[in-house]
Amino acid sequence: MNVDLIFRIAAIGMITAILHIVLEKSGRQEYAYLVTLVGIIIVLGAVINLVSQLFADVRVIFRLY
Amino acid sequence: MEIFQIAGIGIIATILIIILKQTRPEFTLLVSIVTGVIIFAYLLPKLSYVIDTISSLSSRVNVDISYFDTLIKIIGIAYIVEFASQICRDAGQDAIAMKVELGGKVIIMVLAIPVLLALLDLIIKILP
Amino acid sequence: MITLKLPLLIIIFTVCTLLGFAYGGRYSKRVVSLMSLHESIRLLETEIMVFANPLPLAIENIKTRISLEVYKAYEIIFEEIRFNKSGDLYNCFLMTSEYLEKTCLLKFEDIDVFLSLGKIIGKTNRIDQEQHFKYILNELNQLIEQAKEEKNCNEKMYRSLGILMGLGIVIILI
Repeated sequence: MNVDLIFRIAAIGMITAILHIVLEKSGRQEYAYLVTLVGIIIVLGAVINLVSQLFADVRVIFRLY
Repeated sequence: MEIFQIAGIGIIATILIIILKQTRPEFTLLVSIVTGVIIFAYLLPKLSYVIDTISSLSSRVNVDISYFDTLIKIIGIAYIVEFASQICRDAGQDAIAMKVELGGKVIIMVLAIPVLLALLDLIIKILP
Repeated sequence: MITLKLPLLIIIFTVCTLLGFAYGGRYSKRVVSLMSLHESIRLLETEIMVFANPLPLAIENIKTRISLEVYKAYEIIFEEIRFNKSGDLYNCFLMTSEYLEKTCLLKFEDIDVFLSLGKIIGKTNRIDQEQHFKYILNELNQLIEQAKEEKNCNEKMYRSLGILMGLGIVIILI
């Protein structure tokens, strides 16, 4: 398991936050919303992989078939 | 010592969540999920070691192996349900957390029925 | 692996940043072009109104005092007039529109104001022309204000957008 995924998610979150502020200040609310959505989808892709890996490991160890 | 790593991961994740909470609350949930998964994954090898030890013990004292399997399955289901319901509760969705726990309880009950039946059989056999 | 990854990530980041800066630079370039156009038209007005020079001579006179980009537009007009490729003066002015759009990054309305100069020079009497010059300079001033506002709003946004996009891609790919 790699801990840097936590940092990566946090960094993507911060970057989307800054992008949101920048886009909102120049009056493009719809793009700001879109940027947040894309960030969450990207992070969710990584997180779901990790969770499914965990579930597979648990299944093997506790013999849940 | 793994405990220092786990504690460190927990503290770092908490700090990151506090930083993110003001601007992007959506990402805090994802960070907490990943933290949970990583800590869980650190613990899994230890758990498997414990289970292996217990199963070797049980084979030594000649207990029926199928009951022991059921026990392990129940523990595993309890872990998974706890993990999922905690995530739901973190996000403020108590109702969904309750439903997940309910699902876990029902499945545990279904798994426990053969044990119950065996127990009843034993009682009937003992009774004259 | 890391020897291949690191330079590629740096290249991606640099390209994104440069793209952001290039996009943002378009807005300030338009302001600069508009300002030098304004200056050059003012000089041209003095040449024509005060010294009563014909247009080719006036262009010849002001060429050392205006910035190079805008001067090229005047050079196109100068060549057109001298070799008489197209009949009207307005047609000579029309020839510059493509250059102004592509190189000076001016918008359609800016070019339109400049082209309207070609319609009046040498067509009417002195007072009329003076009024027209005044009107064109006023219009250009307004356009400059508009362009400045647009620049303030957009230039910073595109720059930070480029940098942040680069950072985001790098973080995702690490």
